[in-house]
Amino acid sequence: MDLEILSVAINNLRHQGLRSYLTLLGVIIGIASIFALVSIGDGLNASVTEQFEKLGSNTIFIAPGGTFSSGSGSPTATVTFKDSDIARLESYPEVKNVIPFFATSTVGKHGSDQTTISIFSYDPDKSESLEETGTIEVQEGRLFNNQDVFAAMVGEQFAEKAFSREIGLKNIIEINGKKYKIVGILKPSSQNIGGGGPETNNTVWIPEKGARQTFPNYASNFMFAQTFNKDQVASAKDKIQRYFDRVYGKDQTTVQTSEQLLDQIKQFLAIISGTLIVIALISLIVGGIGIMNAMVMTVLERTKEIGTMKALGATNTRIMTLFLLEAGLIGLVGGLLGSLLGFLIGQGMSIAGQAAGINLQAVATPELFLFVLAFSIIIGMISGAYPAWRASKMDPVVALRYE
Amino acid sequence: MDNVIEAVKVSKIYDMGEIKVTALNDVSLMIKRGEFVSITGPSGSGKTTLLDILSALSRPSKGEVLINGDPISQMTDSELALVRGKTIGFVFQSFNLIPRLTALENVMLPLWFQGIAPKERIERGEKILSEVGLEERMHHKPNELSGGQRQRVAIARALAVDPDIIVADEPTGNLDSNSGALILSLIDELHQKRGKTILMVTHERYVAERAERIIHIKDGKIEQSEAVKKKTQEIRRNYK
Repeated sequence: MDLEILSVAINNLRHQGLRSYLTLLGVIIGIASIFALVSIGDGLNASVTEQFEKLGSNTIFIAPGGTFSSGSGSPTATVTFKDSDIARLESYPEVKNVIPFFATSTVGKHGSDQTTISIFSYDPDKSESLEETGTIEVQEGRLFNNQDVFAAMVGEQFAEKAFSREIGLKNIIEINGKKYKIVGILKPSSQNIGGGGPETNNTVWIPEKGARQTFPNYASNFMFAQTFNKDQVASAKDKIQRYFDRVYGKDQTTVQTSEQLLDQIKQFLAIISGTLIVIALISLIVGGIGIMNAMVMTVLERTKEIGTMKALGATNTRIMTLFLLEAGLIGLVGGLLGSLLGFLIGQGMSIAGQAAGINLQAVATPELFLFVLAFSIIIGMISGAYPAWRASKMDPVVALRYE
Repeated sequence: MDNVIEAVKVSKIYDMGEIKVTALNDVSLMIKRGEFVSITGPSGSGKTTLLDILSALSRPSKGEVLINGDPISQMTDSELALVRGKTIGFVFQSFNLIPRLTALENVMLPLWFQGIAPKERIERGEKILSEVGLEERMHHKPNELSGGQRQRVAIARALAVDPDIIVADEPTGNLDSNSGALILSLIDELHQKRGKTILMVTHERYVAERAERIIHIKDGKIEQSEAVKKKTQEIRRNYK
């Protein structure tokens, strides 16, 4: 194709001034919304993935019951795990570590105040492994050590809000008549395996020794198993599931990888961002209709000119190409400016999100940029196709004398 | 024998739904190379339709038109456009210059359609504009030029591809008499000095009379020219 027709098309667009700019604006808005939504959606996905990676993509969750219990309080199913189960899991070559928990719910008292709390208890020997999974992260004080019996760790929000007065290190919480002293305050970023988010985190962590003396029904009813690396997760998960199905019967325990949990969350995110992108697409279609409208007007206005060009020897193909290029150029420029605007919106929302405490960084890849650009050009050309075709089919005699 | 344009039993019928309008009725005509022909007639007579068909802007409903011996009914629209662009230079009543383009760019436009390289286009465009006396106004847009200057740009544009035929549709219709006279003498010059075939439509008698042959159209048919009538009458008289 001779490239000169491109400069003619650019010249034509420039001379249309306001109309070209307004048409462009329609495309820019559509493209910017798509770019921003996709990059924010990708950012959310990345942020969720990162959080799960902190938790360890090599972590397998084992809980009693047919479905994974993520509600508040303890799993209510009857299965509890025995030392033999733990020993069996630890004997698998893929498994690096097993962290059993005792989880239950009860009433916690601070002075005359009382509230419902979730108890999570584990063996302080596993403190380091647990910290490695990102499940707990100390903000103030320390993690449990071997000597701890009636010690407790609580989340930052819990410390501030659970009781009428804020509690802190060395304060006492009374659980089932035993007095637990707070030794650590956990960061809000700590994963809450008990239930809710950091806002509603009402989990109180206590060491195994204390729990055994406080709860007569003490037994491991929740476990983490960690593999040495990511690639072993799937096979270890299958082995563990098969073992528990054999020992406790089918569907009596749920074994789930963090990847599966992540997939569920990602699926949910995909539905939300998919919906938003469809809405953005509609706005782009409106932009396309804007191009079509402008091109129909342009062709009508330039009827006499089209007739003249045909009289002077312009072929139908050349006329068609010229108008298609004009429409495509609106798409190209709209795509460029729209992506830029969309990028800025994404960055702006990331900054706003981070200020509000949401870990979000919009992802703008070159692929997204190229995709959006190509898409915009195609929308432009599709919208320009009909007006361009009409221009090319004009009868030169009629067009020449059009007033 | 050397006919640039030949129309053989050409009719043009416009289908207006209920009624059919016959704009041209079985017209045959030959234009010889180097001839200067005027087409004249009252409005609605079909003179513009005849010009459109002779200049390959539209196809006849019946009959055939040959351009340099080639029948246009055998050509596709694109072939016809290219033949038109190469063989015929148009001068319109309302100039039909592209307003966004400078005089030079307007003149270069048909050369672009013929696929001529940019460098040669500029050279030829500048040369022709100088020849019509517009070397100072080459880079001006049409709205910065007077009517007469615009028509000279249009003539330069018609000449750009060095066509066999110049077709002029009421070339002085939008001009004052001074500018009109200038344009007419320019057309005369094209005919006499360059040997171009000229086909001009006009309703003004004094303009038509500059041609070597006047074709008078009425109700879609060619009326015999006065000269031919006179000649016929003479022959008849002599016969008696």
